[in-house]
Amino acid sequence: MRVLLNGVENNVEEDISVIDLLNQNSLPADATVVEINGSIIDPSRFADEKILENDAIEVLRFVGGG
Amino acid sequence: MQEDYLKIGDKILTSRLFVGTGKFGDESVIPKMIELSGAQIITVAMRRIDFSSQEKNVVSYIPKSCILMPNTSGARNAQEAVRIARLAKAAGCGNFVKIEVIADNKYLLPDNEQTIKAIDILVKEGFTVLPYMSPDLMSARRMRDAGAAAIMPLGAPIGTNKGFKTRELVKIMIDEIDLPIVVDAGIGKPSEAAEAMEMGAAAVLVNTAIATAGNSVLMAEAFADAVKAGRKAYLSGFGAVSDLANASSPLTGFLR
Repeated sequence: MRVLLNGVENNVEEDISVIDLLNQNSLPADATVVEINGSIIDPSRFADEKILENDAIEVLRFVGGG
Repeated sequence: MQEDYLKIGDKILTSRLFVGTGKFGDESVIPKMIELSGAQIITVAMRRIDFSSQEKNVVSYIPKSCILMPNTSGARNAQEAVRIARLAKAAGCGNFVKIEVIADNKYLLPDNEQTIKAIDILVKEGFTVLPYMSPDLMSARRMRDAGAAAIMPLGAPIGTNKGFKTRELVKIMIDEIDLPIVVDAGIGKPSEAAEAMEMGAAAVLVNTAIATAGNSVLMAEAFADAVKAGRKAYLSGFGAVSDLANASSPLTGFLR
């Protein structure tokens, strides 16, 4: 199904959870921030939160900065 | 002599040098750089993950004992700064935030007005807010009234290494605002950091001068020494300045 991932159109499987998405991309759940349709997803909900078609997903992390 | 602590929010700091983690060609020097700098407050930025690259997360280079201070770089207005701050807090690294609202790509000068609005919202949400700002006493007063934990005026535009160009205006802020004043941006040399501390700044934040130095670890250590030197000098108080000479050796008992 189509989703927007960090501003780019992407195709992901149906019934995928946030933690699945992170695992598929080898991303650690800690120190990764996920926002779906403008709402921040609490890390405790990564396993339960399902990604739906046309969701706008932001996957963010800290980088070097001043 | 009593210990000289800096209290910001609910944190008691013994180091008055804050360091940034941006622009390091090789991020693996960051742990040693932080260690030699003695810095306790470390800034980071928040960005979209690049799925194609497998970069190590910068947080893994920062000791757990340090206080992470995410900046809101990328924000062009108060609402964007607030969003970034909330996202950063969701990463679970504490409630310190450096507000950086910049809509000027040429000089990267901050927007004081939007910064004040962001402070107002974020303080109410429990953040410890340190705003990066263009030195202006009125704006600083408004930021203090909005609940900022410290004020961070620029020394010179970000990344220029130009030095403490704003000294006159920052001095006014130090004299008039009863909050820690942290000189942030533009400091290029340890001597400039020492100057800010001698003037009475509470701390300095240095990124580019260390990241782009020939030897970042050595430069971080130099900045640590300079900040301590400047602070001790300030606490001591200076001898009087005179136009005429005053002999350092006795004026009697000359050998003739």
